[in-house]
Amino acid sequence: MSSTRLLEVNDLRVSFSTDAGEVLAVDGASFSVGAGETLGIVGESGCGKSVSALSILGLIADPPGRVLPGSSVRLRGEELLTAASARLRDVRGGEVAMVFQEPMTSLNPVLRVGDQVAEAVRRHTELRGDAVNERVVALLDRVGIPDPASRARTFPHQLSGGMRQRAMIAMALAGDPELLIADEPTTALDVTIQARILTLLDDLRRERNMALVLITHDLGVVAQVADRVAVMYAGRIVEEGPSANLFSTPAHPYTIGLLRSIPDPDKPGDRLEAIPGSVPSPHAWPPGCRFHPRCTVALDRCRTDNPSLMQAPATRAACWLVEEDL
Amino acid sequence: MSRQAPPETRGGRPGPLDIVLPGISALLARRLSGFLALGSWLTLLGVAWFRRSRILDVLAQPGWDGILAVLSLVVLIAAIWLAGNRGRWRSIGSLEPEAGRSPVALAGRRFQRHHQAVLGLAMLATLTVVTLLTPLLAPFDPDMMNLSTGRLLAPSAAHWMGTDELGRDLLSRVLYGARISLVIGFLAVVIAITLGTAIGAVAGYAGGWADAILMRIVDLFLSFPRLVLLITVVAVFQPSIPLIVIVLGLTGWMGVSRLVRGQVLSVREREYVQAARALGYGPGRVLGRHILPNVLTPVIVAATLGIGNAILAEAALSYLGLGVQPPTASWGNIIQSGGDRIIDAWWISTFPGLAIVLTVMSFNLVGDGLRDALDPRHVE
Repeated sequence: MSSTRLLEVNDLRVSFSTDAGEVLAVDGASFSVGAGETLGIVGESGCGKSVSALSILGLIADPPGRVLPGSSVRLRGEELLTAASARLRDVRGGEVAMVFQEPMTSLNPVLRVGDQVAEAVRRHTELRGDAVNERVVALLDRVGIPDPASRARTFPHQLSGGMRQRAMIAMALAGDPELLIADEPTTALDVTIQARILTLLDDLRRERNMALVLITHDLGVVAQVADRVAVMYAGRIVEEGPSANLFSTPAHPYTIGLLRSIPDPDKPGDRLEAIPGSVPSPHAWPPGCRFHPRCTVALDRCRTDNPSLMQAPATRAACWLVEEDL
Repeated sequence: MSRQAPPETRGGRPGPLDIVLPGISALLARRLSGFLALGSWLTLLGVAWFRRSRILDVLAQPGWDGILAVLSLVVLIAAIWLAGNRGRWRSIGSLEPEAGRSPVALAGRRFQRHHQAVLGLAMLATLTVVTLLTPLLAPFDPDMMNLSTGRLLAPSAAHWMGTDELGRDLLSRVLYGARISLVIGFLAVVIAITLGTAIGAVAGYAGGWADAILMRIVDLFLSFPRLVLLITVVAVFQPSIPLIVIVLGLTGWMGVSRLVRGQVLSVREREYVQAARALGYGPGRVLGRHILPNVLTPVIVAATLGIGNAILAEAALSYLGLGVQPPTASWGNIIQSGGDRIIDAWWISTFPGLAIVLTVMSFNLVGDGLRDALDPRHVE
């Protein structure tokens, strides 16, 4: 990958110390995002998507979490994992902003919505006084909050989930970030609201030439807006490639299984295909390829050797079958 | 949003009568607030009228004690008049779009439904006013003795609570004692709450070593018997009001800091705190603006209950002769002075005792009401 990428994550490994010992939540994840690009990171609960996202901004609580040496997160070539904490704070909300999953709890309940957006504006711009308020109203208006001037004076508990998520997005936009990380931004919302929030994020990305990392467990969400997709399984990225290619010609058996388990609207009543077994616990990752216990086409070497990402016909996949086929 | 409260229907618009009798229109609209406003207005005017000679004395011979009392009287009368007429100047404000009802305002409405707490608050408000106006209200000088004819008089029209063994008017002493007891209780709790909140917040937010060290200090302080420590400190130094305040404050913060630490530990994991950090806010701002306001509810409750405890501790100390020193009156040392005459001069210990009971009970009622009103899980 060329060095002009906006964000490059290399061999990210994050461990947590728990009562049951050290647990590798992310084990060697690598991905990158170009300016203005949308990367979807897909995976089941507990596969390490959110931990990866939090690690980018150094938001993993230490202890119990720890980003292991050898990991690298570079923003325009600048290493963030070893950056001074003051610099990191400027990056957070300034160059890289984040939107969280749970809009009901991600706004401070005791502060007015407008004051919370204003705080972010003051933190990351030179605006002061009335200019801040104008900016707040403009931001709330841009994210689609009707009657923004009076909504700014309400408290979070007076807004619906969708409105709160829009307010969160407005706060994230306050510093005019180059990269927006959205961690399951629509999971907690109604389906109709989900679509509107996704459209909003996509529009914002386009008009601000802002890159977007969209973390989700919903393949439909990814298909709708992502340019490229990374599929995570058990702390590793198992397949990565342009969105269209990944959906048309997936190479990794896990991706194939995921795509097969999407209900087909043309065949109502059919039983859904499911991947046999369940996600292994991080306390006991299987050796070799972590998917092999559930894989129907596993080879002998899958049980012992861990495949890294290799060039498949349309994508890059971490699977020995790819090598066999070539 | 669908829920829009009709603007300004609650207080009722003041009529022309409110200019003379503030709150009358609210009273006519059968609102309790009107009764309270009019009642306290008339009471205060009554004080001003019946104590006019005392006020003139104060103005002729100013002392800060009396000046403060007269000033309080004027301010209170003006405040009630303005409160009864509020809304008269509101017409411009009400054109603005309805501002969001804050969590504090919502809690205030829940508190109002808690009748015992409102009663407690009313008693505390009365007590506060009485304390402010003591120099105007007290019928006699609390230190004026009458050894020849005034000793150990039972309660009568001249001395509502009787007199003590030195012929001093007990009502005046109880009124002045209220100031001492309340001020000591309040200041001690301010110290305890400030210290406890700061230490608990730092321990909870920083975690790790800082947390471990601070909590061991808490354990250390908790393992001192409070009363024995108080007695020792007061015995070593000369007993004085500042010393009692400081000692009570320094021995009362540990519960608060444990409380705050626990709350901070829980709140710092909330998503809005993570969101605040993701926006690049520094630790001071995250802690001060995004965590602390969300942990203050149990602190307010603890503070309210703590004042009651501090008043009791001061009384206990004074009862042992180690607190406020005579001739300065405090509730504790008045009780002590009547302790050996409880049969033949029952009034000396009984009235300040009742005052303590009522005051501490009021603080506890208000504390319980606040706890219920501020608890977000408390849903009707």
